[in-house]
Amino acid sequence: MLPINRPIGSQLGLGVKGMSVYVGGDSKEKWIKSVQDKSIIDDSELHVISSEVFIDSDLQKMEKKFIDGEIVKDDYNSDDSGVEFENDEEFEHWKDILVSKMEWQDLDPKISGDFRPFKKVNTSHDRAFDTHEGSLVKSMNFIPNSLISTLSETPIPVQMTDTTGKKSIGNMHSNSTLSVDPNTGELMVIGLLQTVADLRANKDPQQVIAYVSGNSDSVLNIAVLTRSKKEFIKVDKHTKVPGKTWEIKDQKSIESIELNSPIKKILFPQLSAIFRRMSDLIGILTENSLHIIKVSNFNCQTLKFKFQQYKYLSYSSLGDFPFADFAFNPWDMNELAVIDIKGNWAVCSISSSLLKDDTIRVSQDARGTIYDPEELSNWKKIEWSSKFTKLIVMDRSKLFEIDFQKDLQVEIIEAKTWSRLRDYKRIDENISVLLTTKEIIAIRTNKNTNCFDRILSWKHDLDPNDNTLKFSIQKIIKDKVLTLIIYIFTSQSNNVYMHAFSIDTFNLQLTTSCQSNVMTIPNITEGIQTISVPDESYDDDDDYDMNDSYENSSTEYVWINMFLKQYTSNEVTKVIVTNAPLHITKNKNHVHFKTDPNSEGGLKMRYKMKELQEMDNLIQLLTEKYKDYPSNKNENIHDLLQDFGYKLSTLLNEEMVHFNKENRSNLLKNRSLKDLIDLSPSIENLSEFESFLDQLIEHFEESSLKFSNLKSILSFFLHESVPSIDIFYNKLLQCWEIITSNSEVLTRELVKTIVWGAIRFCNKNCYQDKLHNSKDTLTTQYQEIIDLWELNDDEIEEEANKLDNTESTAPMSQPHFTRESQSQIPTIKLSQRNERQERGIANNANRISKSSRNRKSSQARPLCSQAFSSSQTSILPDNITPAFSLMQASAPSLSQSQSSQTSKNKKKKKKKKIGGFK
Amino acid sequence: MFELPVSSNITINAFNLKKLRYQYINDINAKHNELSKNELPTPVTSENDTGGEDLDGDSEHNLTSEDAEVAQERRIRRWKSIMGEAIDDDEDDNNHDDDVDNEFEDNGPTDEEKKYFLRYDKPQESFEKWESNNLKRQRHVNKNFITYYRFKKTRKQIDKKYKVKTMHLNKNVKNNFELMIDGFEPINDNNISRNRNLQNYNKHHLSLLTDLMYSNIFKQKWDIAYKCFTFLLRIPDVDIRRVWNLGSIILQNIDTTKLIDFLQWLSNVYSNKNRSFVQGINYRNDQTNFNGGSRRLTPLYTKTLLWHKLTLSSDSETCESEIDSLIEQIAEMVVIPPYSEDNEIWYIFALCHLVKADNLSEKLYFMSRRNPEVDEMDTYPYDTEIYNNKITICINNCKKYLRKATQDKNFDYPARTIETKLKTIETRTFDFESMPE
Repeated sequence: MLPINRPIGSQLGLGVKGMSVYVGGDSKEKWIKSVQDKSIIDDSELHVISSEVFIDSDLQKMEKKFIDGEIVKDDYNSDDSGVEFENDEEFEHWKDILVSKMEWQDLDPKISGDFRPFKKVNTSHDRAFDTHEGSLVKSMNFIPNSLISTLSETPIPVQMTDTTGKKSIGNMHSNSTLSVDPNTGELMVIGLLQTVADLRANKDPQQVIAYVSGNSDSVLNIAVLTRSKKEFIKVDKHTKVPGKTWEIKDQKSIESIELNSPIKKILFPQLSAIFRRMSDLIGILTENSLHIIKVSNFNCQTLKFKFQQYKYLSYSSLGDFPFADFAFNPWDMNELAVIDIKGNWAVCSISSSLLKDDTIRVSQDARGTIYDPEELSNWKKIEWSSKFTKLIVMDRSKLFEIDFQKDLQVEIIEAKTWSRLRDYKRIDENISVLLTTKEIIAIRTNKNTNCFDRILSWKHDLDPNDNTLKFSIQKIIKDKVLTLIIYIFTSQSNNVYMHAFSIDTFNLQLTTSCQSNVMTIPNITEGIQTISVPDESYDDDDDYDMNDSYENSSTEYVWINMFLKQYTSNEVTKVIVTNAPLHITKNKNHVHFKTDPNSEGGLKMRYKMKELQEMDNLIQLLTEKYKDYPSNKNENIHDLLQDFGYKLSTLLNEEMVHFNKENRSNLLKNRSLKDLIDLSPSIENLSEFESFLDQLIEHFEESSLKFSNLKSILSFFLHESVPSIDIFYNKLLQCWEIITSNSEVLTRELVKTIVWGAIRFCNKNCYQDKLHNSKDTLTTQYQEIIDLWELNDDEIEEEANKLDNTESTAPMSQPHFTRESQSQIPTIKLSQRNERQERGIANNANRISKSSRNRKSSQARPLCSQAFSSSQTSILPDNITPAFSLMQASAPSLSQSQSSQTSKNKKKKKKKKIGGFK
Repeated sequence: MFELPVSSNITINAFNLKKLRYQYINDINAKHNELSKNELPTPVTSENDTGGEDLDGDSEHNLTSEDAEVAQERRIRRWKSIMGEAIDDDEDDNNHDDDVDNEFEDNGPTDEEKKYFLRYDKPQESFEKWESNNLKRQRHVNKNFITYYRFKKTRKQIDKKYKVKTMHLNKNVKNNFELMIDGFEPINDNNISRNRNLQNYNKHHLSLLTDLMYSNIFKQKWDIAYKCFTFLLRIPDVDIRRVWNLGSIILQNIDTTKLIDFLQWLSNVYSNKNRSFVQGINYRNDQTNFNGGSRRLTPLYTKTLLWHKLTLSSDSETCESEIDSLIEQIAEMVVIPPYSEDNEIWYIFALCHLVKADNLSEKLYFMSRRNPEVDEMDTYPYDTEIYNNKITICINNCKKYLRKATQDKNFDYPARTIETKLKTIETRTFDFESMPE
C-alpha cells in the first residue's frame, strides 16, 4: 500500500514524483514507488507493424450479395444502404464477378447448410423507407455524396453530413461549425459472448465483433472472430513472436440486423467475475430506442448465430428525450439502467414470459434525475458501481453515486471550473477509470466501506479543448498483476495516446507507468471513432499458450491486436502493435507499413489500401517488363541515332510540305514527335540522345518549325530548373531506386517516354500570319505598342528619335529570313562530352582526328549520306530540307559554316525578340 | 494535439462564445429556479432544496432570488439597449459596434462568469472538486423527472430572447451557440473557426514545438526534447509553470544535479506562499497546485523537489550530510504555511528521519559485525553512544512527524511497513548494545 492523501490521492504526471515508502537497504529497491521506474510496457519501442482494412462494410455487403448468389432485385432501390456503383469501372468490376460466377455455377439451386424451410421468411426490405430519425431536420441540406467525396481533398478537414446527419451536424452553417453529438459511443465493439447452451457444454465463449454499417449507421453487423493460424514471426535467431491475429473466417457468417435508426452505442454486458461466464446479450442504443439481442444458439461449423430480438424500449417510455447511455447490471443479467440526454435515469428489467414476447420494463421506483439546467451538453453516462444497487451517473460536470435501493445519492465530483469529464470506464468492482480534460484518474470503489476514492491521477497534457476525447482499455493479467493499458483517442487525429497502470491483484496496490506514448496509426486519414481490443486473456487455446512461445526468448514482446473504426467511414481497421524489432514489409495480400519514427502527427497517409495495392501492382508490372530488357552496346548509338535522324527528318519534311499545302487555320494546332514516329527503344545513352535532340531542334527551328522548350517542361516535373536530361534522369532515378531494383532501365525508359511525348512542334509561319492578321485588326495606337514591345531599350530610344519612321521591320523580315535558312543543309554533330568541350577551341585539323576516330562507327553510310546530302540540295524543292548528313573529315562542309553563321544571325535576331518579351 | 503552455490561449470567437454561454446558463438557471418555486413542491424536492447542510441551502436560496431580481433588471436594461441598438444599427454601423462592446464590458460576461462561479468553489488541490466525506453529502434521489414539457417551458422564453441577442453576433459564434444550447458539442472548444492554426503563426509555431517536444519525450530522445524545451521557454507567452514537469523529466534523464537546481529555482521563484487564492477572480487558467501554490497549498514542484532530494540522498554515498541538509531545509519550511499544513511534507520529513536512522544503524551494524572489538580500533573513531542517541532521536522524530501527518485523518500511510522498518532499526541498535556484553 502506498501513502494516500485524501481526497486527492496521488497526482502524477510526466516528471512528477509521487509518494513513496521507504523499505530500507536490504533489498535493491529501497523505495516502493507509485511511479514505476521502468515503463510497464516498453512504450517507447512500441510501433505499428501492420495496419490494414479489416472490414469495409459497404464493400463487403456488396460482395456478400453477389457471392451469395442472391442478386436481389431491391438492389435498384436500395440506394440508401450504400449499394451504389460509384462509377462505371466499379460496375464493370462487379459485373465481371457476376458473370464469372454465372459461368461456373450449377444451374440447379444449391441448398446451403442452414436452409430452413418455412421457419423464417425474409420479406424483401426496401431500404428507401428506412427511417432516419434523430438527424436534425433543421440542418438538413442535401449535398450529393459525390460532391462530398471530392471535398475531402481540401486541406482542412471538412466534416459534413450526408443526407442522414450521420456523425456531424454542422452543415446548416457550412461555414465553420464542427459539432458532434457527444453521445455517439462505441460503434464497433469486440466482446465475448457465451450462450447458455455453450455454457452447459462447457465451451469457451466466442470472440464476437459487432459493428455498424449503412449510410445512416442503422445496420448492426455481428460476426465471430476466429484465431488466424498459428504463425510465429522470427525476430532473431532465438526469439519468436507468436503473430496471432483475428479474422472473420467466412464473410457469409456476418449477420446483419436493420434497426431503422442510427446506432449510437453497442455494448456487450460485462458480468461480474463471480459468475465465471460471459453474457449472451448484446445491447444496442439507437437514436430513438434501446434494443437488446439475445444470442440463443451458435453453430460452430457455419459460425452463424441464432438470435432473438427483444421488443425494444422506446425513448418515450422514460422522459420523452432520446437515450444517452445504458449499462447492464454485472450481477443480474436481466437488469439494466438507462439515462436520457437530460439526465433522467431509470433501472429497467428484462422480463421474459412464455406467452408474450420478451420486453424491457422500466422500474417505477428505481428512477430519478440528475438534470442540471446549467449543463448544456447532452453527454450523459451511466454505469454500475461497486454494488448491486449502486449506480454511477454523470454528465460533463458532475458525477453522482446513486444507491437506488436506499434512495440516496451523493455528488462526488463537481467539475465546473478547470476541467470537465470526458469518459468513464468500469473495470471491475474495485477499480474504474475516469478521463477528464486534464487527467486520467484511477478510482477505487469498495462496496463494504462505501468509498469512492480517487487514488491516482495521471496528467495527460492533451488538448483540453478537444471534446471528442475518449478512451478504451485493454486488460492484461499476468503473474497476478493486472495491467491496464489505456488508449486515448480523438476524432481529430490518427494519434493514439497510451498509458499504462498496473494493479497488484494481491494487495491492490496501484502504480503507474512513468512514461506515456503516442502512436500514429498509419493508413488512417480521419480521426478515430472507436478502438476496441479483444480480451485475449480468456482464450487459452493450447495452440496459443503464451508461455510456450516465450520459452526460448529472453525478452518478452508485447503483441497487441487492436481494432479501430475511423471517424467518418465505416471501415474497421486492424492494427498490430508490438515492441519487437520487426519491420514487416510485405505480405501476400496486404501492404504493411512501418511508421516513420520522426513523422509524429505530420504524416497522414492519404492513400487508401486499394490505391496502394494498385500502385504496388503497377510497380511490379513495370519491373517485370523491363527485367530482361536488352541492353545495347554503346557503339551502336551513333548509327542508331543517325538512322533515326534520317527517318525523322524525312517525316518532318513531309510534314512541312503538308504545312504549306494545307489550309492554314487547320495547322495552328501543334503536333507531337510521338505522332510521327515512335522512339526507338534501343537508344540508351541519354546525353547522346539529348544532343541529337538539340541538333534536330536547332536545325528545324531554322526552317520555321517551332519546338516546345523541353527544359522548361521538365522543370515543371521537378519544380526546379533542369539544365539537362541527364540531371532529370538522375533525379528520377533517386526516387525509383527505392522502389525497384531494376531502376535504371525503368527510369531511362520513363525519361525517354516523357521527353518524346513532351516535344511538340508547330509551324511558326502559321502563327506569324495569324499574328499579322490579328495585328491588322488593331488600331494603329496598339500596333505601335506591339511594335515597341519587340525592341530593346536602346532601340526604343532610337525609335523615339525617328518617330516619323513608322515602318516596323522586325516581323516583316522574318519570313524572308526563314526561307533563306531553309535551303541550308542540316548536319548532325556527334557529341561526346570531351568532343563538345574541344569544339570551342577546335580548328579543322583537330576535328579531322576526332571524326576519323568516329569513322568506324559511322561507316555504315558515309558515302551515301554524303552523296545524298550534296545532291539533295539541288533536287529538293526550296523549302524542303534534305536529311541529315554526317560531317565528314574530308569535307569540313560549307553547310557547317553556313549554318553556324545563320544560327549566329538568328541568335541575334532571337535575342532581340526575346529581349522584348522579357 | 497537446495543451499549449500559454496562459491565455483562447480565440476571440471562443471567448465570445464563452461569455454568451455563461450568460445563457445563468438565465436558464434563474428561470429554472423560478419555475420550480412556482410548482407545488413535492416532499422530495423540498427536502432536496433545503436538506443537507442548512447554511449552504440558505445562501443558495437567497442567492437565487437575488439572482432573479438582478437578472430581471438586467433583462429590462438589455432589452432596452437592444431596441436602441437596432435603431442605431440602421443609422450608423460603427456606432452599433461600439455599443455592443460597451454593453459586453459593462454588465455582461465578466459579471456573468463571476455570478456563475459564486455558486461554485474553485478547487485548488485538483482540477475538479472531489468530496471526501460521502456520508455527509448524501441526499435523497431527485425524482423530479424533467419532462419535455417542463424543459421547453424553461427554455422557451430565454431561447427567444437569445435569438434576438445573437442576431448581430459573428456568424460562427451564433451557429455554435445554437448548437450548444441544443446539447451538441463543438469538436474543439477553442477551434470555433476552422483554420485556427493559420490564424496566428506564433501559435502555430508554438503548437508544433509543443507536439515535437512531447513526441521526443515519449520516444526518449532527451537531447531533442531538451532543445525543444529551451526553445519553448524563450517564446514570450509561455508560462514555465505549466510545463515544469516536462523540464523535470527531461533533466532527470540528462543531468540530475541540474534537475535539483531547476526544481529548487522553481520553488524559490514561484513559491507563492504569500499569495492567497481568491475565489472571486475569474482566472484565465487553472490555478491548481500543479501550476503553483498559494498560502494554503504547496505547489507540486516543491514536493517533487523534496522527493527527488530524498530518494537521491538515500542512494548516494554521502547520504548523511545530504540528509542532514534536507532535514534542515524542511525544518525551516514546516514553520510556516502552507508547508506546516501539508501532510505530505510532514510525511517526507518523517521519512527523512527514517532514512537517516536506517543509514546510521546500518553503519553501526556493519561496523560491529566486521570489528567485534570496536573500542580497540583507532580507525573507527565513532562513539557508539552518540550513534545510539542519534538513532533514537531520529526514530522518535520520525514517529512524531508521522503522527503530525496523520492528525487530520486525511492522510494514510502504510503504517505496518514503516513500523516494521522502525523495529528493525531498533533491533539493530539493540543487537549492537547487547553484543559487547
